[in-house]
Amino acid sequence: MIALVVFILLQAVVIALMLLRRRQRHLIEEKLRLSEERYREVVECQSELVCRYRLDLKLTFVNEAYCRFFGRRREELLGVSFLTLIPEEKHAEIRGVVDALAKSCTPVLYEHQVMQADGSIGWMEWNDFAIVDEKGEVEEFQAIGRDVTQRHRALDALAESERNLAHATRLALLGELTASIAHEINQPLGAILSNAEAAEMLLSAGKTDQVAQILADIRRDDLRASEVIQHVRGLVGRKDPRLERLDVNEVVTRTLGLASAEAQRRAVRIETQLADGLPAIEGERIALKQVLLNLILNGMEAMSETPAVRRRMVVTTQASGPDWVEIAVFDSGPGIPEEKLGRIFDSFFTTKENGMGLGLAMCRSIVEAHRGSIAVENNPRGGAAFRLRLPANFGHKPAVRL
Amino acid sequence: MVHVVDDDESLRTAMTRLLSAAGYAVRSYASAGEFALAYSEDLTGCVLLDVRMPGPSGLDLQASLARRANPLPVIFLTGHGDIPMSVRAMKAGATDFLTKPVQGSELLAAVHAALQLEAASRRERVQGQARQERLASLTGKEREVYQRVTTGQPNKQIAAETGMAERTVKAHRAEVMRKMGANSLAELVHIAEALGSPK
Repeated sequence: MIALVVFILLQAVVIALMLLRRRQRHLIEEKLRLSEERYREVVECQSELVCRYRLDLKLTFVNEAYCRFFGRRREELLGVSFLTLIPEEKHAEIRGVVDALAKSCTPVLYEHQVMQADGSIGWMEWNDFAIVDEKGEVEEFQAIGRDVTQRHRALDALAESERNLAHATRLALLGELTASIAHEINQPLGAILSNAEAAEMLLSAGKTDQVAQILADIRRDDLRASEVIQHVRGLVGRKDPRLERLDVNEVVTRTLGLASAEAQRRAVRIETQLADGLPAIEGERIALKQVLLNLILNGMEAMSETPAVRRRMVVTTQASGPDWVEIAVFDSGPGIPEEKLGRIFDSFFTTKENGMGLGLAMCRSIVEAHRGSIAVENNPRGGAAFRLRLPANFGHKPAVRL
Repeated sequence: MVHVVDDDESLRTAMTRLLSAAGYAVRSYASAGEFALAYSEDLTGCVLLDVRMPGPSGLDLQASLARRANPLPVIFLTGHGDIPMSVRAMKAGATDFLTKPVQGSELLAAVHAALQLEAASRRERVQGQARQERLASLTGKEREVYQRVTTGQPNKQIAAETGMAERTVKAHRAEVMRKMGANSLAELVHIAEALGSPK
């Protein structure tokens, strides 16, 4: 009897315990369900894209925003490699990022192009991290992405307007040069015309002795005019930048060739001190010539009030440390007022009566696009000194973006 | 004589050839300074002048020429962009203004016109000098009669105001006409106007 009572009691206790356990489990399950729901809500409701994928890049989870962004249903995405959403030329790069993440397990932040629902190309910024199991092995990856298409469009627009501005500044510089260029072209054209007409007159009078010389002169002047035109085309033509390995000394010598007529006109003596064995630089030939030409013309203009015997310009090249080449342009003008030295490269800041203040600003932007720098100082012995420092190219530097 | 002043050797040579072929005597100069050194008061002809040159510009040379007793006519040569310079040069009395590259016919026409102008003004200068000399050859009495006659006074009035006999006035007047080379009173008045009012 006692045994029966004890048994029943024990059973009751067991049942009570079981009920308690079950209730507890219910509570835990409920908590778990709530937490998961909350988590799901967080994941689903946010505008950021969330996904998980395995090492083979196949998606194991995508949130609502992800589906919306790409315009696909969840069933269409799960089990499919996310590379299908990315332009093919980027695939290798992205595989590289994921492989590196699998090895290092350090979260990465990166951007890449994606094909949006409407078929256009957009930009996403992803924050990826690895999910590791108890044994420390990578189970899968979770990624949170933000749509940065607008930012990229804005950047593109900015780059475009910068290109336009650069073009406009070239045109402005050209405007300043126009009178000089018109003169340079009209001189040979005038000579050709007068020579041809003189030859006609001589021939019709039966005099032929001078004609051979006249023809030779016509040919020479024609070449002279076409050289000027080629140069102008180089200044205005808005071609894709052509980066090439350049010999700094050659760039300097060629530019001085372009400036020589102007130097002669202004009675300026130009000397050069060019260092031998300089490393090559990588850059756009025309743009660098334009910078140098601008500095040289500025220097000559600065010397217009200097007595002709003292109008002297020195252009030097030298290595500056192991990785840099320096080109310097010295003039013997009055120098730059101390208070203006700091602003001389600013756009629309000018010390000239009729200047637009774009020439030196453009020089700086070109030099900086070449990852170089430009500086000015007054020479203790008089005149201004402009120094261009350009990175020398030893073959391991990435290409310049212009 | 055409004086070509241009710093550009090939243009200078070509224009010299063209003008020579057209039958003009030509001298060329590489700078305004070179021309100034060669300049003398008895140079004749016209100057073909480049506006933009190193050293003294064409405008500087024109200004110094304009101060001379016998200013040579100046034809300017200029590029397209030199509008302010063109205006200055025309204001300063340039005879003509040609834009490079200049057509031969245009150049020769301008040179022809400038040379004619220079010849005319030279003739006038010579004539003026001769008249001055004639005026200086008048005696005191004749000078007085000349002044009164050319301001329109009749013989009678001159006689009354100067106390000369009318016959004497007539004689002086005839002598004035002869010395001044005038055939009529109208011609004498014209000469007097050209000479300006004597002091």
